[in-house]
Amino acid sequence: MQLSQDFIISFVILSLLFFVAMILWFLLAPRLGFKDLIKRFVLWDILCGLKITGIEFFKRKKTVQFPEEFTPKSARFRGLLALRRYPNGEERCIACKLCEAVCPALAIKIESEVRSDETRRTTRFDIDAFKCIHCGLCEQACPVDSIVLTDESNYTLDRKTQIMDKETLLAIGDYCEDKIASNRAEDDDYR
Amino acid sequence: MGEIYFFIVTVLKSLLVILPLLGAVAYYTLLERKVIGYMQARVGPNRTGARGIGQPIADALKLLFKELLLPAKSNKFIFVIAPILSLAPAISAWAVVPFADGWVVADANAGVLYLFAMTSLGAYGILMAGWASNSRYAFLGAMRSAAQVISYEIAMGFALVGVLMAAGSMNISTIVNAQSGNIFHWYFLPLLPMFVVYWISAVAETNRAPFDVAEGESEIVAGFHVEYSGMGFALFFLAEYANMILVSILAALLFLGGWLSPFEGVPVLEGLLEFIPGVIWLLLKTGFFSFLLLWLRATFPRYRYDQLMQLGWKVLIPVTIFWIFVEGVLILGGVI
Amino acid sequence: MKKENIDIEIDGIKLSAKPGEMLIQVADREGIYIPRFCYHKKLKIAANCRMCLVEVENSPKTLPACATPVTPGMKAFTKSKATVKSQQAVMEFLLVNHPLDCPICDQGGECELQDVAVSHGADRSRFDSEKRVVSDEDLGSLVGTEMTRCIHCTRCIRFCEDIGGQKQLGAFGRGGDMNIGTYLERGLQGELSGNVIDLCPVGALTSKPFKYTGRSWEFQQHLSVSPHDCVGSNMYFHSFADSSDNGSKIMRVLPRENEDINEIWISDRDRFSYAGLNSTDRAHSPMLKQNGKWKNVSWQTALNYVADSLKAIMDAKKTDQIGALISANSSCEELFLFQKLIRAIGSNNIDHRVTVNDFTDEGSFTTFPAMVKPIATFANSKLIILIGSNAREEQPLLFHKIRQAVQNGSSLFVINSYDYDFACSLSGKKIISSSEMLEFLVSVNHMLATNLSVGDISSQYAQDPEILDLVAKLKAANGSVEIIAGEQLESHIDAAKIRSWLYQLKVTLGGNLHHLTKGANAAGAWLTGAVSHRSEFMMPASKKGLNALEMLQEKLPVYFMHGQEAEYDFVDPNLAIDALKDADLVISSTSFVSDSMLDYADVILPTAAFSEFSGSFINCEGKLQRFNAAVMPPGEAKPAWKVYKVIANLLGIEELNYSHCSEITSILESSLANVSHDGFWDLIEPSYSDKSEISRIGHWPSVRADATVRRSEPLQKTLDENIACARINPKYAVELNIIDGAKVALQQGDVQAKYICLHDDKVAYGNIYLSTGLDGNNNLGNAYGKITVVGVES
Repeated sequence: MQLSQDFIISFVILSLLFFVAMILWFLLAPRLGFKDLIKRFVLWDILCGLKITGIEFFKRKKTVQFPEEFTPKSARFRGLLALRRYPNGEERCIACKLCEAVCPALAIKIESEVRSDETRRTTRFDIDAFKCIHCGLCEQACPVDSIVLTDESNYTLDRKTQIMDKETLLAIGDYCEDKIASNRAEDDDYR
Repeated sequence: MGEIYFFIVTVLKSLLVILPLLGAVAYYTLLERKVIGYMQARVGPNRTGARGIGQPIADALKLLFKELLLPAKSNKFIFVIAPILSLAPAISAWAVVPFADGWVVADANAGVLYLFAMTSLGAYGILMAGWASNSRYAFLGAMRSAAQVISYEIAMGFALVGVLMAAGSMNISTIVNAQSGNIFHWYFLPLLPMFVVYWISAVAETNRAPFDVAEGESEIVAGFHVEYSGMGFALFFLAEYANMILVSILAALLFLGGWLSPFEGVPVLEGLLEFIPGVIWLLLKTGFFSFLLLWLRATFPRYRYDQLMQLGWKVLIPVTIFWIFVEGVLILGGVI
Repeated sequence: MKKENIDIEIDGIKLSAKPGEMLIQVADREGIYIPRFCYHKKLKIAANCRMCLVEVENSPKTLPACATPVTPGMKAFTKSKATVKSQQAVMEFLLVNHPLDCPICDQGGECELQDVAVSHGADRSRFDSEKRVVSDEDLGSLVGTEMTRCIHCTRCIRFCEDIGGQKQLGAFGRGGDMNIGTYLERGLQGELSGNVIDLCPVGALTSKPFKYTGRSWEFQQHLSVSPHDCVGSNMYFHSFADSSDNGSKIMRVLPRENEDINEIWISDRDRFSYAGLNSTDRAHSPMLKQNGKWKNVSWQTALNYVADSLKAIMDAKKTDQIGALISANSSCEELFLFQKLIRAIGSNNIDHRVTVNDFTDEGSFTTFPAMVKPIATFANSKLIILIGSNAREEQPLLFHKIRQAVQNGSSLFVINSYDYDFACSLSGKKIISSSEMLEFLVSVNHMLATNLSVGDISSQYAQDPEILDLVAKLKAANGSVEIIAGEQLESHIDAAKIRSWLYQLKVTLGGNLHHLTKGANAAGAWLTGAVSHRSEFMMPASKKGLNALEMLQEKLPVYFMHGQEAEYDFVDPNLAIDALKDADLVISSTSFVSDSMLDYADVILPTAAFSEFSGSFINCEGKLQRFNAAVMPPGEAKPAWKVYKVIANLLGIEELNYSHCSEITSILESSLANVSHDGFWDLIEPSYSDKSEISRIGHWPSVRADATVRRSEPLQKTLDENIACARINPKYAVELNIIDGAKVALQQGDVQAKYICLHDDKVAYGNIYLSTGLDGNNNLGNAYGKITVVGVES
């Protein structure tokens, strides 16, 4: 390459000036110590981050293959709502409305009347499953263990099935009764 | 006669590049999901085909059959051509990319300049998409994208100037061949700051994490392509991933000696590994950079917009300018 | 000599108390809470629950605060260790036999036992033996029982005895076998019996119609006033707070404390009439009769039809052909707008007095037939004369005050045509045929005063022991006599004359003459101008219109009715139905539709029933009381005042343009402050009716008094099963050859019907007692008119 002497000299001076300015800026602007400055220049923190994900890449994966595998469930799992019956087939619910009163999401609506056998019974027991937050307070409030949260978690509801009425809830209760009973027996000592 | 022959050959060559490229893009998406999944202690898609091998095809089919929505108050024409304008440069850039010595569609002398032009053109697609959508999120995303691309283009350009200075050519094949020798002749060592700046700018240029402010799903939903569905969205998607592979392969070509074996000049290994064709080396190097893109995404949170600008203008550009001077001095001194 | 206050100390707070006061009374006044079950501020002290035990200094044991009179220097401790120990022990005893069925108990959530068990009870019981079970007693259709829950506080026993006036409930057995029951298995009788539900601190006595239908915490409480009698008891409506779907329904009615009127009680009629609001008879949408067929139409169509019809009459300058009849149970706002509308149209034929037979002295009332003395002061009266009234059932809370007066030592003298059971000791009574009542009063007046210009002592009464007794009492009363002319006298054929002689009695003796009226708001009707001779706020009408009776007798072509059922509400239902059927157009704005109404009406405008609109009532003392809307009207029904406002707008009448009904209330309030309710009568020459003629007496039974109560099933079940029979004095029956249980054909005017006739020595000689307002009796004539026996079947 054919470049004039002047050009080379001015080039070197300019570059040196620029170099000094850079060093000053790096030293003064972020007010970093020398160690930190070096760390910055070699992208130390970035490498540390990459190391973490790099190690994780080779670790054992924690995925549970859902339809084939299940995560273990506690006996206290709070899933789908249900109404239980006594072994003789009589519904447990006595329309005391304590669950309705305690429900923080106002998901329960109960209407009651005197049934022909002079007992207190519900004429309407609706749970808005979209409002329900599965807190389990209704289950705790129930004096007759009627309303329960089953450990059933695999279900879908849409706008047509969103309101679960008394028949639905009792049917769920009938379907899950064995599991409800065994879960309750397991948890009995702590209640 | 000769012209027709030339035309047919060129088309065939282009197809030879484009079709594997599209396949690569498709499986790159699967790879991304898998890699990020693995880094997050999960397994990623594994339901479609064996270990999720059919996932890209399923996704493509899904996008193909999805309805194309045109927002009511959008500029219809621009809205439709924006994704095409985004994909076209991403693919045409590949014309000057050599895969091995002589394996190139157009061995242009100004290849780097052409590449530079093509990657920059992609920003127009994004800008037009954002503007034509007539949506505040899309518009914000497009604006961010434009500002970002302009900022990082400068740094990237300076980084490439470094390479040009070192190689004394704009032809990519020449640049690669200029790096022959052994691994220490590759440009990543003498141009280390350039290489780092190039890579950072490349990540920013492709709007990838941690510089994905243009999409920023937690802030502006999906950025510029928020209004796109079906194939429109798919085209943006293709463009983004084609660009990712492009910047990866450019990194390999410009800084890591392209198709050159890393064992050149090593006494025993050189002979032992001579049977491996150069294109494999290139793909391995490209694969490493592609993987690095995913790795970065899995690791880092998104930059804040002002930090992003600060990094571009106050760090990367000064560093490159400085190193160009240093490099000039080195060249004069005959080191490179 | 007035005793000086004494100083005591409760929980270290120095207090001053009156001598003879009980500790719990002082504590209550000072806001120091002592738990109690048997003690109640309105009842006598029993001290049998022991819940109020408190530690008192220098006493070896804790003492019941409700039965411990204060002594000077007494120091009581309501939160000391000994007190708490006693309270927990008592609570544990009370819970030994109390079932744990709170979840199904209607009292749950508002139960004193629940509250006190939580606040003052121990956290566990040491008794694990079986709880006792007590069989329930049937207390009738209003009060439900669950006697197992009873804790024997005896509040209900004391209430029936002291407040209700009848010893109906008692404690049987002793110790663990004690239970509460009725002496005679007739259920709980009496007009105030529902109050035991509120008094019962547990869920042993509950409301039967309300049973199991709601919980106390679900309700929203709305201020209201009784819509059934002129006393204006204060009460609360409870409706579901969540009125999203199907919740817009009155669920129960509870008393609201007002010491000036109803203290803490309400009558059964007020408490249970809400059941009628949900009747299937409710009018849901406007209806038009076209070619004899009823059609549901939109409000717009109905109101346009009404407006067009009225416009046509206005254009034809025949507005004096419109007769407007409004119920005395309407709110002041409705009455005010209704009369304003009718008067603006150009008719003065407006009246609410459909139960009245004699209008001749209507000018004598300065404002309206009123109680000239506040009800609350009656308890201190010396002599009360009740004439033509069954106040116990018609104005139960007023009679509660009278009973209090009797219990405080005042004398009560009753002049009636039927010997009603007043469940309190009368110091004298005269059961006299309605046609002889005037003669009797003239004689009394002449025995007391010698300078009267007209009338004379009838020979028949000269030596009558009852009249002598009354005269002696009147003389002894020395001026403080309260004469109460009842609701039944209002309907009397000779009411004006009787009132003038009662006024004379008042003038001679001093004291006061009071009048009672049927309906909740007759006072409001008089004051707002819903009477034919006066416009609003006692201003004279531009021209005297036809009164209620004349309107029907004249057979006008157009009638506009509000809240009336012709077959039940009119004193002469037969006359009313005839007139309405003959009319060209009958507009009925009503909350309830009956079959008979569908027959005579042409347009039905559904209006909100009581509890569905806000407004005000003026009670018999002249006190204006506001009430709020509690629930939404059913279907398309609208508050009546809005309907009248729209009709006025359609007719281009500007005067009714009020944007809210409280605006009208405010106008009424300001216009009616400080008016005197006295009346003035000139003495009228008595003319006695022919004694050979039989007069019918037959007032509305209290639970048939208005449209809402008539539809309240639980109240209808309290009606006497023989209510639809004619009754006659046995002596008189012998003269007429009617044996007990015979079927007789009775005739009034040209209407004839057959009734079973029972001998009843409570009926005055010369009268036939036959209630009106009943389903079977609607086809007969005037409830106080002449009646003839046309045939007897044995």
